[in-house]
Amino acid sequence: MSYIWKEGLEQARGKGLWLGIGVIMLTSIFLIAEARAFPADFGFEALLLSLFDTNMYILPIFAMFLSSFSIYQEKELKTVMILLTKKESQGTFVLKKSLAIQFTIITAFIAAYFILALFMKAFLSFHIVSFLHFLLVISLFLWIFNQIGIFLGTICKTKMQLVGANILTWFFVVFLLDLMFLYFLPAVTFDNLRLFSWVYFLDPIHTLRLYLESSLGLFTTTNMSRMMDKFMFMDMWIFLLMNTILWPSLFFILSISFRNGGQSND
Amino acid sequence: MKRLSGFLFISMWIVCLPSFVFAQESNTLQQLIDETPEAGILRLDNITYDGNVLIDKPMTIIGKENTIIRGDGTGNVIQIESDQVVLDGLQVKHSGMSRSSKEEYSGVRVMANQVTLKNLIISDSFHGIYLNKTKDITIENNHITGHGAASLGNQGNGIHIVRSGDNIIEKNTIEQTRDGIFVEYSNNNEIKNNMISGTRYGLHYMYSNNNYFEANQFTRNVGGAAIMHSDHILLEGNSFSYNQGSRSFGLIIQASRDIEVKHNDFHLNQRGLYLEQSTNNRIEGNDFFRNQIGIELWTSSTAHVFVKNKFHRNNSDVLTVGGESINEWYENGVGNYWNKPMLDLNQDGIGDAPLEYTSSLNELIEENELAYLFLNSPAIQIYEKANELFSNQKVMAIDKYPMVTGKSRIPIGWLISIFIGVLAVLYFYKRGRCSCRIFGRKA
Repeated sequence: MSYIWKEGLEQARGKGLWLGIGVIMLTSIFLIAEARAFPADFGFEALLLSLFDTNMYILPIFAMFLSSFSIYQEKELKTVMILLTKKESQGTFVLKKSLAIQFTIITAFIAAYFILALFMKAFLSFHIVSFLHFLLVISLFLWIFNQIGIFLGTICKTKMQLVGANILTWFFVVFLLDLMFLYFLPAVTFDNLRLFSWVYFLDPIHTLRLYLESSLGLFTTTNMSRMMDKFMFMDMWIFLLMNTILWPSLFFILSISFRNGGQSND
Repeated sequence: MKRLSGFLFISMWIVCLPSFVFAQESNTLQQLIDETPEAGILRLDNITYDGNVLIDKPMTIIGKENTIIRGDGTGNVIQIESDQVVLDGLQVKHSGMSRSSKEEYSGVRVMANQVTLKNLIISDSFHGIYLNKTKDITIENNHITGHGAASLGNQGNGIHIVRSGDNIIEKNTIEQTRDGIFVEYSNNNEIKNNMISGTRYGLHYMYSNNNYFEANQFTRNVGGAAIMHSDHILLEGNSFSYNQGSRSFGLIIQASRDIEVKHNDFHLNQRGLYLEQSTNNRIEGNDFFRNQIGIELWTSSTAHVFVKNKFHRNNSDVLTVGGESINEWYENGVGNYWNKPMLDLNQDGIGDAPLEYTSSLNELIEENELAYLFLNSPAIQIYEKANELFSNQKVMAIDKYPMVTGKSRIPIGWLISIFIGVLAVLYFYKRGRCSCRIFGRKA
């Protein structure tokens, strides 16, 4: 609890979180204004999808910056050294710090979306179930990228290194991965489709978007071609669950194993 | 004499007066129908009547709010074999669902002319309404509900029209059926103001000519409307929206000629308009907004005219797949609105330079249908730019007279209020900080 309290205070006093929330709110308000021109029946769902598409760019970088700098600060201010020499091990420290960061950042962003929900309710035909699906997806999005940020904060030794690592990771996940997919696409055949499908759905951005689309009723999995049928061989929520558990766990373990950039101090 | 003429007059009046039969619970519905005289009116009570029934003489059946006609699940609930029948305000349920029977059953099957079906609520049936070899049928203000996407193959269509002409189908709501309205070998029909959602194809239309579609809404279907092997059709003011899925489209025109698609909305579809093996169609004044692909043209589709269409924020406005296809993107000095920055120094509303719309996505899509999965990806822009640098892009459309859009989708009032809001927040934030400092100094 003390970790969460401390994290909350630090984030609230810093500018990063407010900047992130400010950017999200400003872009969202523009999108809400635009969505007023959508047909009333499904305009709200279309807006949520637009919000996700915008967040796809913004959220990963903010999540990674906020969480990585939070853990880096512990190293920089030597508080981690004090904690580790007294009662904490690296594992318990990363665990408690991760939980604190996750709780603080996810709560802050979800609160911002609830404020935005007031605008949505005022100007659009608001559907609470769709909105809750959206919040779930956003929370999981932050959950995964926060953990990546914690890993980067743990392994980087200087601030410059950390900034570079964050930007490179963001560019890799958001742009480069899909670019690689596109260049490999002509090689995908019906026979090796299952492998492609696994790789595709282990990218959290793909899974989260498709899950959101299908849960909002904007993507139907009926009447699919044979190829698409084989491609979507599992329910979306199973892929979602796998991403939710796999990536944070992996980066949590890596954060413990590769502290100090993999160097060991005897 | 006076008495005789008076008697004759009263007799004639009684003969001409429509006969009323008030339904009683003790009689079966078929008995009541049989007892109603020709051109008579049968008024039904607020109860459930057992079907199936056959109507073989001109008559009107009027129901109340909860009048239900429930079939026995072995055939058509109501079969109309006489001209000039009117059904009004009934709930029709539980037709046969067998697919191995001699015919496909329906809630209401019409096999005669000049029939009116209005204010019906049809559910739990294979087809909702089935017209077979009929003329001059009016289907108005009915609500037809199917069994949903899970049992798509085990059910029929909302309204199934075969070899029927001169029908008017308007203001109906159809949802969760296999196809919303299925039309085959039927000419000169007017289909207006219907709302169709949650079906496979909202409209499935084959081998039918000279039909008119106006102000229909096709939303959330696997495919909005499919027009196949048909000529001389006018689609005007319809909305094809939210038809999303791995193979979804707003409107597909396949193997058809002389189709006019005017002033329709194509919003948020995977593919707005899909043209294949078709020629000489006119696509004018339509709004393509936020589709993954605005218009997808296959090479087999040529000699179309695209004019005054608006393209906004589609992931790709136009894709020509399968090689170059010859189409006109302007006519009489007027092109389309592309929503791209362009100069209009003489302010005539036409861009000063021709617009060449290029893309490299066509090859990807041609090679692998999984490419559709990446159309929303941020990487697509980089992919397009990279191919542009290496000159791998192909020309999708050449518009010599691109039109300049002047209207923003976001109201200016909003922008001003947001700007003022941001300024206010900044002002109070700074003021707050100053006062704290002052307070701190004083303290």
